[in-house]
Amino acid sequence: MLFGISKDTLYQQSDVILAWIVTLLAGGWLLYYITKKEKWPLIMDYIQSTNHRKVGIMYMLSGLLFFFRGGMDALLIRTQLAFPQFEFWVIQGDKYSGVFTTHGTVMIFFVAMPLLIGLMNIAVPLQIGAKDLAYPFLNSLSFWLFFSGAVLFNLSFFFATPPSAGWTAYAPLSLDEFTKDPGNSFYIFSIQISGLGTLLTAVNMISTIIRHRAQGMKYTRMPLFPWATLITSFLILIAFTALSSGLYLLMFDRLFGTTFFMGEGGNPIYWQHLFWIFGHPEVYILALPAFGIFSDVISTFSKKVVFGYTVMVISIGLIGLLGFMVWVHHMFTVGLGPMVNTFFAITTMLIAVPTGIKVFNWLFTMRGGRIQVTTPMLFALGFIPTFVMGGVTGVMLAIPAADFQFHDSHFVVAHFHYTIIGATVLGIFAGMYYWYPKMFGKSLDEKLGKWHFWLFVVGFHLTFLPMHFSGLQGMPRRTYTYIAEDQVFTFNAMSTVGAFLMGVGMLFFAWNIYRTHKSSKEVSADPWDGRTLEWAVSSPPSEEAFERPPEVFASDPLWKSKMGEKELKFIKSTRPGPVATNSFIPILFAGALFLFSMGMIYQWYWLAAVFAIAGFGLLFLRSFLDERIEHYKQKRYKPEDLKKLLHDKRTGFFSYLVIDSIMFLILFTTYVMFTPAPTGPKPEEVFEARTLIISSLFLLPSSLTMLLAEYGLKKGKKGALRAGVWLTLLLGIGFLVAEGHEFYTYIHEGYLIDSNVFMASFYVLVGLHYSHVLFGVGWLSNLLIQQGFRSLPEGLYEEKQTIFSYYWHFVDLIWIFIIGIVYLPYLIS
Amino acid sequence: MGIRWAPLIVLLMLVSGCGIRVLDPQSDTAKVQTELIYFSFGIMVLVLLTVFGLMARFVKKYRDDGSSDYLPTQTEGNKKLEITWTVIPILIVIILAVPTTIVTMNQSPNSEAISTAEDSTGEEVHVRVEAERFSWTFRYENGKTSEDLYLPEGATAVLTLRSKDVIHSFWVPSLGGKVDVLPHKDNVYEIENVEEGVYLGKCAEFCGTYHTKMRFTTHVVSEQEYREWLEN
Ligand code: HEM
Ligand SMILES: [Cu+2]
Ligand SMILES: [Cu+2]
Repeated sequence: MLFGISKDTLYQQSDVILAWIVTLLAGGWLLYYITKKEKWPLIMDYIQSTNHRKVGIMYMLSGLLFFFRGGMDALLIRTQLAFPQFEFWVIQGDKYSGVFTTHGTVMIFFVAMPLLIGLMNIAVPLQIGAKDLAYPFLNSLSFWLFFSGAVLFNLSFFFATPPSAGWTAYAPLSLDEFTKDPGNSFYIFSIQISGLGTLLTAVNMISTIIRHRAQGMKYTRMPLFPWATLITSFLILIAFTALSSGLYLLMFDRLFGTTFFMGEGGNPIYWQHLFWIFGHPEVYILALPAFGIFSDVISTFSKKVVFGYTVMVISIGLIGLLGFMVWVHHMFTVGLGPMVNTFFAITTMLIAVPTGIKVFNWLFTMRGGRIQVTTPMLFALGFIPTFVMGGVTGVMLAIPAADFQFHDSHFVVAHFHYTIIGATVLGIFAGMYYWYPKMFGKSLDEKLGKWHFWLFVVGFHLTFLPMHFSGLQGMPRRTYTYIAEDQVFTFNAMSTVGAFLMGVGMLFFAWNIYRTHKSSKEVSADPWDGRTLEWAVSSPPSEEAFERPPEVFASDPLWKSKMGEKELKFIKSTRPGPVATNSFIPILFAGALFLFSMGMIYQWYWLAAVFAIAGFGLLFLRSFLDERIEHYKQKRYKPEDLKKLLHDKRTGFFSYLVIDSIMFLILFTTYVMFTPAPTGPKPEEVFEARTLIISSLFLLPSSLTMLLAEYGLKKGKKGALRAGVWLTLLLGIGFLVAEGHEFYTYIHEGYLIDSNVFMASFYVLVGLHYSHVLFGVGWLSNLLIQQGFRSLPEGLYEEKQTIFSYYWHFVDLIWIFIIGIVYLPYLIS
Repeated sequence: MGIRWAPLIVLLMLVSGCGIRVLDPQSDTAKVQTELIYFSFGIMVLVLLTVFGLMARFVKKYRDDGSSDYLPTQTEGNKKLEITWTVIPILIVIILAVPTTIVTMNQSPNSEAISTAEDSTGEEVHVRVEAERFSWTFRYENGKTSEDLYLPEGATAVLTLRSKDVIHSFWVPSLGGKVDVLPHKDNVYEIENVEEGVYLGKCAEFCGTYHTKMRFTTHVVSEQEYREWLEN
């Protein structure tokens, strides 16, 4: 006995204890090392930076850190499964559930996503000749949101309560009735926060690519990596919003007693739909950028243009589109019926067509070329057969009757590792070796790179090929052991050996990075004899690289200029670029959200409240520290420039509105599906026409007053502007009071969020709209305070008010839908 | 090349793997599923061989051995080729889609019994399957319950499945694919013409701590033995 803790418990928690010790030691050493090498200024610089390369590097570093974490989990899994009825350490039962859940979640959200986004950050602006991403501050914010989500997730293990319902968090297992400890709440909040970061990145990428391409960089001349990034970003907008909405509902089920996904009125299958509407597009979100990288790499090292460029672009688009029409192939065994199964089987098979086209185009890009087998190219060559193997098992899985056998067995584990590792992870490695010069101005060692490749790829096939067979032999996934009669020992033993081989491969990679940074060998601007614009600037590029952007005259402009076709000229920029800054607000804001989440997870609501307020405070502060205020004052932009700037902002804001619309769409669907509920309050007895009319009388006219303000702004009529803005504010506040009174009455009468699923879906929908109005009122007040306090420079106030007006009209529009869908059907009858 | 010998292993394993449960089906339902697996696998092997073959050839032929530094012609595309590899995959999809559709319409689990059993010869045996963390209960028409599943040889098992808590999934690899066991709704799944033997059964949907141990055995016995067992 030690402090009243028995030896048994101590042993049971030895994994957690060890993790604490190792982390503290490593952390301590790191602090010492940083201090000794005087690296603090460097670190402070990165933390505050909004530069795309620096943010990209932070994504890469954290992605690799979490890769280490997820990889350790993979090795624990494989060790536990090495022999029949083996008991390795404590990795059985709940511990095993924690390990595979962590492994899957970390690998998808905190490894594959950030590594891809990191590469996008580093390469995309350079490839399209943009000075930076469209919204540099937002980019830094995205990173810190992702990072704090990831840290939050990892923390759960250190508190000995990792999430344990799989990365899919199927209800009702993921609800508090069956998984009491806070693990799955960690899952909800960490994914929510980092998902928000990902959504904002998508907004940023879309705006960057649409608005900031260099002169002459037409869409038809854009390299395939930016193309893939653009389409991926659209997929993110839709898919991650579906996930966010699902998590939002799951949160209410876990913490606030609603029953969307369980019990009499609820439906656990609804969670599966929401999850896979995210989940399937997610696999293309992971694959498409990798396809883009491979296209660039294969073309560069075959010394040929991409074969069938147009078709390549179209097939990326088609894959993205079809990606949203196949999610039910994860649910063939659920019992949705033969028609549904057949429909989704066919759509799934169809995806093989554009994918196949891409494979042949890659092959024919190589044909007739001069193939230089460098490390990035080697990864591309490993990718093609590996990914195709994952693709063909995908087609086999698309056949429902066959999938009844494959589903949830190790066959599926094999399949998705073939696609995710085959495409995404190999693509990330290819991209890292390829663009390393642009990150650090150094090249990774080719020889070590080849060791890395061979060990990793051979280890990979040794690990995952046998899993097809253990699956067919009847081994379900997510099981921590098997018995001798199952006859899967040989397959599992092979897998385990292979996994360690991959681990050794990764050690070579780590060694390679270490060695490269020890050496002082610098690298030229164009070490690979490249074709695209990133190779036209120094390695690493200076932050002012495209202050004077190139004038693009063709696709592969650098290559063509090297061939003497035409000189690549750098010209004076024809438009204002993104404004860089240094700011601690992103990391502070992410930190506030982190602590807010801790408050929610442990249901210490005072903590949550404090940090929610802190978060809004930071937003308020931010509006005063906005780097553009000074910038606009100095530059004194011409009207046409101001127009372009407004347009830039609008592109991003409309992307954000897409997110919001989808979220509301899902909540409306939820409402319609669950109303009326089988038991409890009925909408007819709850709703009252009077309150609805009063709230609407406040909110609907406020759109008109906002129009008045816009009119005043356009025509320079101060009076109309003033009146419009102030009236809008007052009407908004009026709505808040009226609607708040409605909620108050309901609560008073005992119609609570947990009364039944009708009330629940009413509150989550109308409540979300309410918070939108609340936020809008805060936003507008903020703007008025700011303008009154220290007037904003010419152009900036106009921009801010215009963007606000879009928001306000949108919120009004949603209210009209609420009237029509939520209230009217039950008030009329 | 590590990748090149991969298909070889596949073949080796297939040859040696006659004992693989899913590939050695013991009911009509499972047989159809296995046929589909083999059928699609056959077509997919053709795809694999084409891709591997082309890649091996191109890499071998066009690899830069440092002996020359010629400039490849920059071919931007080739209509005919591109149409070829658009049309052929579409044809493959069509070929696959036909049997897929037929079997899926027949076999998909549903909330009501699907009467494909009309054309099967054996009698129908109705069993209620109740799943609960972490055990199975099988309830027969005469009210008898058991922890292992018993079925008479040659019968069509009509399983009505329901969970008492979270989602589980019923799976006897030798007899057929999975069907999810839901807490809020019955699913009905039919397994036709089961053959005599003893088969492993498992829960295939992760359901918590001891999901691994949520197993059962299926005994398919002769008609007479079944009767005797049922009466006791
Ligand atoms: C590095 C070598 C890797 C090994 C040896 C490995 C091994 C495994 C194994 C054995 C499982 C199944 C666990 C079970 O069902 O009991 C698994 C699950 C999973 N793996 Fe990996 N994996 C590796 C890398 C990756 C990567 C790179 C990703 C994605 C980027 C990934 C994503 C997943 C996911 C999503 C799951 C499902 C988790 C769940 O069932 O909830 N893995 N992995
Ligand atoms: Cu999918
Ligand atoms: Cu179970």
